[in-house]
Amino acid sequence: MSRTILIDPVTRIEGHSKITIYLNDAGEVRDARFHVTQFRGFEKFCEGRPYTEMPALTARTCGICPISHLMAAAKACDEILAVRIPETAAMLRRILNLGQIIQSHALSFFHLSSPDLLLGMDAPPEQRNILGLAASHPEMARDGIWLRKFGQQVIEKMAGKRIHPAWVVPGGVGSPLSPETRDWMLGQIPEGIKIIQRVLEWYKTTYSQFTEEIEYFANFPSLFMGLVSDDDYLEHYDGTLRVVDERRKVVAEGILPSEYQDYISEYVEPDSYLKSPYYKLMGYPEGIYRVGPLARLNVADRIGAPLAAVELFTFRKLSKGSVLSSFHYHYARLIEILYGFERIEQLLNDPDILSEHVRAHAGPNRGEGVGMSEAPRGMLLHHYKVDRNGLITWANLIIATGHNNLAMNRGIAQAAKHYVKGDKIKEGALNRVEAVIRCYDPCLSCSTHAFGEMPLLLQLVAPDGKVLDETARAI
Amino acid sequence: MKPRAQSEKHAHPTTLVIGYGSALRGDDGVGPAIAEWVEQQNWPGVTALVIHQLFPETAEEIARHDRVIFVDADLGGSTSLVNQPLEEASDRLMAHRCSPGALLRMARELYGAQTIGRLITIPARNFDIAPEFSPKTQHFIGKAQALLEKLCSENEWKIECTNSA
Repeated sequence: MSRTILIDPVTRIEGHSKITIYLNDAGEVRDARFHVTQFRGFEKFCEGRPYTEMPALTARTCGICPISHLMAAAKACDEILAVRIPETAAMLRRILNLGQIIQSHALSFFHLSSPDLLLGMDAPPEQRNILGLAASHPEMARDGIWLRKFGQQVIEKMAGKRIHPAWVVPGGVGSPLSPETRDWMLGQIPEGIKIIQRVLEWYKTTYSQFTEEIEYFANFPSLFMGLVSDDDYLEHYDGTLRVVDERRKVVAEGILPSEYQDYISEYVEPDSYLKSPYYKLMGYPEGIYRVGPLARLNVADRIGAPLAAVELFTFRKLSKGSVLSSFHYHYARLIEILYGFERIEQLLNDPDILSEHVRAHAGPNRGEGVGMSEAPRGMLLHHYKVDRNGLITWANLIIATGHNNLAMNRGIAQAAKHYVKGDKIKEGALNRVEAVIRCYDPCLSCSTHAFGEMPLLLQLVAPDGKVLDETARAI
Repeated sequence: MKPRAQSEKHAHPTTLVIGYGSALRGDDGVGPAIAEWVEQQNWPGVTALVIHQLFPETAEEIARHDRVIFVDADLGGSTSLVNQPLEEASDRLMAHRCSPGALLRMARELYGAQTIGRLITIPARNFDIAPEFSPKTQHFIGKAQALLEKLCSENEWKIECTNSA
């Protein structure tokens, strides 16, 4: 008799989901599925709205990563305007995006995942959270709070408010950077670099304690996809898409936003509201690929920030090819935080950063626009079509978490096969299956454009469909 | 951030008023609306913070003050304004959603703060998308403002609980 385990809700992620683990007749894990159980349908209700509203409208998809949606939406609208935005506006958007990445990565690593690393995967769940971290490792908790606060303050000072600012607009940004805000950010950067370097040093002495998790946390060959600059540097705002394989061999590169449909197709699974994009040239489901910090470090040749470059050199030693274990998303995230501080400093020291020429004005000159940028969790794509009055007639959003959907499913199946034994769910095993998902830092509100809470349910299901055991946890 | 030493404290205690909730969702926006009102009063030693949700990093801001007053909407069917002392809580925290009591605890554990807290909850009836407050919530706004004025002006809090039907 085969059986099923259900984890519902998945905890310490953004949104609501459940995991089902299917057992075979021998009581061994046959498969595992990650279901996203919320739906909102943002793409549909964008229809009929003026394209000028799209940055502000789509930013409402999420309270965690609204800046990412602002970026992709504004870039799609730039295409509809058919303008090249002022260079200063592009630099300011870059800084804002990096502020978002720093605060989001800090949230993911310190608030959501570091309790697993510091308190142990088998620690009681009531301790394995940020409050437990504050009690046992207050310096680490303070570091996380400092980094997240910095990123949020960058957003607030530049764009007016931390959540859902309207500063990024089609054609550029709403206002120039003030000297006071530039000086404030420059003054904070040394402390930020000091903190993240301290955390990186700690992390590098710690992750070796997790050899088993590294081995079984979504550690498999796949493609990796991310933006790179024209000269092959790490890129979060512009550039073109590159796809590499498990050997870090380039499979495709120079993919323009407008060409994405030649390379990415979307499959809809019957048991989840989360779309399953795949690399079109390899088909479904073989065209599985990963995006996000791990993918970005795998696809880029260089990083363009001296301290982060040293860390990237060390990171590369993890593998001769692409770094395959999703456990190392954590490491990549920390390196990107360091990169973010260095890159913001470089941009703030540009002589034109205070220029008042920050917006290009035009009406709709094209009927279609695609915008791509790198959100904290990976490549984000907005594609709009408009009528001659500039009203949206069709919209497609492909979100980072969606890109990772197939990889997350394969990853939890791998972890479940290793950690789940018998027909009862043990807490340590449950947490490890969930922790695989947390490596990807999924934002399900974004990826389904969904509404509502998101706890996690885990179910153990027999071959006849009978639920043998289940654990439902509130957040 | 260094914890505040006693000698740094003002003769009049500093007070942080945190109004939290979504301004887009009817009565849920009453906390932010009241915090905005407090900000406009420019009371000495009083700072107002308007936020969508309570974040872990709010603990740092709390630790900078001697006292904190949280203002929230209560959809639980209450019929009166409640003003209660805030106890430290050990509930589990979400990444971007904390309880007032957990934040008070974090302020002490992370920053050595001795901040004391109050929680004012205002009866609410509607958290749907709406630009205005329900009559029930509207009824209590003036009472909440008067209560806050009193709490912020007192050197030592004497009111343990206020019920105003």
